[in-house]
Amino acid sequence: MTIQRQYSLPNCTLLLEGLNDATTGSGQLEVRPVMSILVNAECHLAGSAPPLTGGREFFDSLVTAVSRYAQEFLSGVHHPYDTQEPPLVQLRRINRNLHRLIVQRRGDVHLASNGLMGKTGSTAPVEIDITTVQLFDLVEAVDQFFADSQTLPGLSLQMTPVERRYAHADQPVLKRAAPAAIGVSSLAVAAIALFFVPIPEVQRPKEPLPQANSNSLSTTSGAEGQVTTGSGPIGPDPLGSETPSASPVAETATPSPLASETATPSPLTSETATPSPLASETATPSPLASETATPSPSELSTAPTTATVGSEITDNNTLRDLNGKLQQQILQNKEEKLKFPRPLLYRVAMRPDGTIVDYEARNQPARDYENQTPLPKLKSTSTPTSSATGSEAPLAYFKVVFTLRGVPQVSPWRGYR
Amino acid sequence: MPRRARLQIDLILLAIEALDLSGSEAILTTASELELQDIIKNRVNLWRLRSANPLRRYSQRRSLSVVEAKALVVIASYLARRMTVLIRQLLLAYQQLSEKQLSMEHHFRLSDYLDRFRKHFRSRMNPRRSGVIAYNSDEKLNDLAISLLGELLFCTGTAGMQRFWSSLFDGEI
Repeated sequence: MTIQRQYSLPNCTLLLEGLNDATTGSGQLEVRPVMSILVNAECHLAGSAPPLTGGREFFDSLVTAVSRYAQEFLSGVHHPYDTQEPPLVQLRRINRNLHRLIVQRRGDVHLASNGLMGKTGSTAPVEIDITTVQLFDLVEAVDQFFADSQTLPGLSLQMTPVERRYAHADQPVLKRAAPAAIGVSSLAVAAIALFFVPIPEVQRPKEPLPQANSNSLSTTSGAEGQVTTGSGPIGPDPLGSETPSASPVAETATPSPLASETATPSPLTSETATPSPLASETATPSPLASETATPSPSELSTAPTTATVGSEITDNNTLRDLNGKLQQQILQNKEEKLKFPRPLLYRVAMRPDGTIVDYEARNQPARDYENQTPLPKLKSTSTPTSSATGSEAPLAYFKVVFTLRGVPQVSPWRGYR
Repeated sequence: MPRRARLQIDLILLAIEALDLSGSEAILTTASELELQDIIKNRVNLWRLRSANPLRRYSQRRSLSVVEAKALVVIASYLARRMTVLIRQLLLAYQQLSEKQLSMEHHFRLSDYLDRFRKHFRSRMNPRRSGVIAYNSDEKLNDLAISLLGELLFCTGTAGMQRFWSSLFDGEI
């Protein structure tokens, strides 16, 4: 006596015929005996007249394929088959709403031979297209079979999620890797391009040109450049104590025109330069001395040497002291309110006793408006106009700036150390 | 929970809400019916859980815990099962209309569902996300709505909940 089990859904009916394995049975007549042997399985799909029939092999393949495909439908990730050859039953997606059930004609699959299904001799697989609702009914029928523990208890629902390697990214790998590849390649190109950019040359600060040039200037009789009275001869005086070793520096000085032209800016820049001027002064003290109107570069050349040379006062206290004195002197001797179109910059040399030895204008307005400042008056008349054999007392240099409104601002030339 | 899982759960719940006007309330009442109040405490909590979906406008930078995800899946399956008949009707209607190449407007309930789905999706999802920009037309959103309807149908089955749960992890392990 065969056992029949049926799982009916609107669009699909699963019919199973089988036998109870009497040896394991308890012998009693059960209401619903366990069907452990499958003889025949029929799958009726609404819309396709003859059912799919087959034995255990067919049924196994059918339930496996249906279960797999249901998961594939839900997640969109393809579940691959283990076997090499196409399985007996498989499902493939045609489009969003259509699915194709493909059954191979082999094994224990026997299909009813009538005109609708094709010739009996045909070996082409049977293909049935089903809609989503029909597919669901098929899946549900299979699930109900799985849930039935009295039918083929060995077969039960087994689901494991598919591994990551079967999942496809939304975008192809090439497209995803493109931005990274572009970034890396552009970095490489930029690196290569920048490799050819030459390393900037470090230029050592130029020797204070004016100082050096003052020597040559003396030979050229100081054609251009600033002309400050008496500044030339004064310059070398403090430098008379210069050591001769400094002189070679002067020899390497650039020609005078440079010095005179750049008289204003270069002294400022030469602040940081190692001083050759002092040396140059000593080298040719006499020519300088003979000049009655040496250009200011000679002044410019003074003093950048280190304090150890002794021509400049660098003691903070003294500087402060002299600073105050200078300020006082200027303010006392200032005329009525002064007004300048541009600030005037002077460098003033002072002796330790507070007398102003000399001053020089450092910018063009300073030269122009020199006579309006009290500086010419303040310049000590006792300063010798002769050569470096004059007083060798160290001098302090101060920066005096007359603002637009004529206010004098005094500060040490090199700041407080 | 993997990223795709969070997205999928939120979309399924979105489809449920679009199917029935009382969908949003139904989720909360079902949670208490199934005694899941410990996990889904209240409306705000539910919103926060669903906002674990990275495509949401105010996406919370949190991941869904397994327990939370399971609770939401249980609720979704339960609600889907209650609406089995409606889901089948809509899918059949869609099938027939597309076979005859008619627009969805011809079936009131179906166009209603599609309209509501589109509206909910657009109001809740962050339009700057590339995942959302992929659905920037009515047609694409309709397609998404129909495919979600199919997935809801599968959730109504005997093993629907298990199948849905297992499918969330496909390709993520």
